[in-house]
Amino acid sequence: MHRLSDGRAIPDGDDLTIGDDADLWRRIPDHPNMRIFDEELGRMRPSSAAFEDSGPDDPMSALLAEDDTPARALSGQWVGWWLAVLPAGAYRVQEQRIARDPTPEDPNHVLVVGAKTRRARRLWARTATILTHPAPAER
Amino acid sequence: MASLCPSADIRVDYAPSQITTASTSDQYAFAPSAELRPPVVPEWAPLVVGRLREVLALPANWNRRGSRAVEMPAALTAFSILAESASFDTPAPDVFPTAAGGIQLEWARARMDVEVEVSPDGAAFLYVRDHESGEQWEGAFRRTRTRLSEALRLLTIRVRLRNAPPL
Repeated sequence: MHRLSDGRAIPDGDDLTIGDDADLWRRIPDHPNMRIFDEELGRMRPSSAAFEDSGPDDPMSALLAEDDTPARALSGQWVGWWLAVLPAGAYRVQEQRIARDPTPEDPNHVLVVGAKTRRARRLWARTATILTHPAPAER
Repeated sequence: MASLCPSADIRVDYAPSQITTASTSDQYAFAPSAELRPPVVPEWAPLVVGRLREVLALPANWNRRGSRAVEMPAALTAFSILAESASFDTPAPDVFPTAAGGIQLEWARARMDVEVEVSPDGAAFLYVRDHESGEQWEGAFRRTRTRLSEALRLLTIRVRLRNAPPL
């Protein structure tokens, strides 16, 4: 068992009930800004600084997208935030494991567990897509 | 051409016609007139200072997942790295806080990706990728400080060429 800084425990091992093609949403604040316009990609993308563990004992947080909506994920205290979207497989190929970590607020909360190398973070930043709510056209 | 140097680290060349005499009590024998005074503050500096102030003002837990407040040594190191490596007209980088309390400077333009990650204690790490040449490089900044200067010089030249009016 891996123990988080708040004392909660998450199971060892990768939760393979979460498929490689299952989208994971990572909530990213809009303040401070964590987005950059990448001329090579021709679009906004997250900074690689947005894909760090929360702390030495607290792995990176995400949400399992299935059965959730951006409207719910970005409601309440998350209004104004945005979602960086990557499939679980994109994390696994960088030697991460996915562990379910349901919370009262987010029953679909997961943790992305493993050492986050700079190379991996850069790769995630350049392949993630950005989801906002409301969508930019609706704002 | 005469060279006047307001700071030991900054050399600025003036055409003789731009030079006016100053009183002997002035710091220099010659000084440019006020309207011809060259920019001594790099173009990127106000933007970067503003952004550093913003991230330094962030409270701990700004990411609601236990992030640390940004440490002053990280901000000071980030600024001094820029002062050492960037030209007057180098485009300002984007400035990001890191969850560990550090700073990340990032450029993604002119076919260059440049990232400088400064940890809370001021140690810095550099990543450079030139999409044009295919060259890619990363390592500790203290061992490779010239790499950043070279990358930013190339990036600045490309932006200047792109922004230059057609002949």
